[in-house]
Amino acid sequence: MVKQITLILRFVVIGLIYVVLFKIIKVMYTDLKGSKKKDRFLDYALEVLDAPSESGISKGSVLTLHTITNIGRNQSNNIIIDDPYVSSYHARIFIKDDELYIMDLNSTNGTIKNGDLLKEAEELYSGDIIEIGRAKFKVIG
Amino acid sequence: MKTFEKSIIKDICIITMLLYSILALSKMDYRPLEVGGLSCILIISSYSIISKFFYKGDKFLLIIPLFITQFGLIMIYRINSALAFKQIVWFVLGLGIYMIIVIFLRDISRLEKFKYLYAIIAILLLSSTLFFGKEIKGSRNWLRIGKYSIQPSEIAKFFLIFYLASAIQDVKDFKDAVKISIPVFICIGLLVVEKDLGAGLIFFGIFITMVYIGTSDRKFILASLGVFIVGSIFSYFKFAHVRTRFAIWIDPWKDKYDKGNQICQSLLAIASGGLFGTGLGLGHPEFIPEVHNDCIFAAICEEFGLLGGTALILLYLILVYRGLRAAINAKDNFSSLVAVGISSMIGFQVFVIIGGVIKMIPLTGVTLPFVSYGGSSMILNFACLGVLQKISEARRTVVYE
Repeated sequence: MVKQITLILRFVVIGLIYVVLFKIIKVMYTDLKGSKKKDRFLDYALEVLDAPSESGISKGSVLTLHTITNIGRNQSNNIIIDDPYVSSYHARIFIKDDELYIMDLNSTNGTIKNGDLLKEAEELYSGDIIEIGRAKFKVIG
Repeated sequence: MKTFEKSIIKDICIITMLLYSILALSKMDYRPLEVGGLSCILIISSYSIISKFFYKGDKFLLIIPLFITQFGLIMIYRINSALAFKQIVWFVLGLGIYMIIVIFLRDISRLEKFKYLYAIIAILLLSSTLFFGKEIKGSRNWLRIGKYSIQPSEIAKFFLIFYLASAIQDVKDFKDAVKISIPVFICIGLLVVEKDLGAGLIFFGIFITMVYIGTSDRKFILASLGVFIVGSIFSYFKFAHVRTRFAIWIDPWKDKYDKGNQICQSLLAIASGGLFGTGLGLGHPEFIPEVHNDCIFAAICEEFGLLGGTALILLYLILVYRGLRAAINAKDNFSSLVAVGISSMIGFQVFVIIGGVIKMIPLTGVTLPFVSYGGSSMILNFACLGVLQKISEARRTVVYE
């Protein structure tokens, strides 16, 4: 009886071993494809970490960035934050020479990057935290 | 990405537990399950430490060796459970050293400046066995310290890689190449005298790969191949043990009860396994001499079948590929060459021993990395993995910076 079980289980074990192999190769394949894509495009995005509920953007959502992304309270901006602490044209995130920058547009309350108030255009990296008014974003990409 | 890795880890644990429960069923004993549980805890805890604190590196460089190690542990447990407990101790020590290297080695390129020191250490380690060594199983490559025997050639490999990685960058012309290769050929010569031919072959493999990748000049390869061929012909006529190994390889059946016994038994074992294997615990690996060590691949082939053996080879292939990938993305030439050296070391070691067991090349006693029983080999291989992990962590970030 035990022998029969062992004989059947050997197929199960070999099957499982190949399942693992297949999974490993699949992960590597997607990994390879992903890294090629990143070389061609800069696909950065902003993740909303925190925002007041009335501001029009919801916590946890991901906002895509364009070559030039304007942020502010005015309706003509790309990212509109309806918050009294945010100026009409508050900040701009742009891509120059394949790199991502953020610039404050002389806003009343300023833009905070990683805890420091922005003075001039600064480069952004994945993982940076940006605070605009009461909203808080994280750069992902 | 992370969920994928977690599901792979989960599957590895399921396979491990399944294999140990087969053993528990067939022996009607609960103790295999304890060993299985212990292995699973080790797998999960080491993976979670790495993925939590060192998430930048390539986690597959840990996941794959952990999986490969389970093949070895289960096979050793099935052959000789007392040895398996010792092997688990080595496994834990190996993981410990791996963690120490990953945590404390900040910048690998700082190790670049001691290049001649590495060469001297490697040569001293290898020559130490000539004076203080002990002959075990026909090779004078063991050092005995108290109760334990260590194999200095395993540790010398590690230093040789570091030496070559720091020295190859200075090679500009043929004279430099000759100069840097002198310590390597001294090492190989010592190994041949000590009758550790497999290690000599691996040293040569590492050397030729690293020189080719470091200089991308075919001239050096041809020259060192020439030296190698002349050296092998010379040692064939000079040393009796080389001739014996060769004769066994040509026709093991001629002396099948004595010298050719090991290779004949392992060929029979592989053949009796067939495609799906005899099933765990149902083969007869105890017929093969040195089965827990050199010939463990034959035992795996017998009980897991051709498919299991192929899976193991594929895992090694993926591991070497990941190592080379880390080399491509490494932040400087030194770390890149070290990664190439470590990957080629694993690759050549697997080739030399699996090739030997299946009678593709003459059988020489080297260990199958992460699988064979042996403390020196286990600890050293995990140390190498730690370095590789570190290299994969500090990769060049071309896109974002």
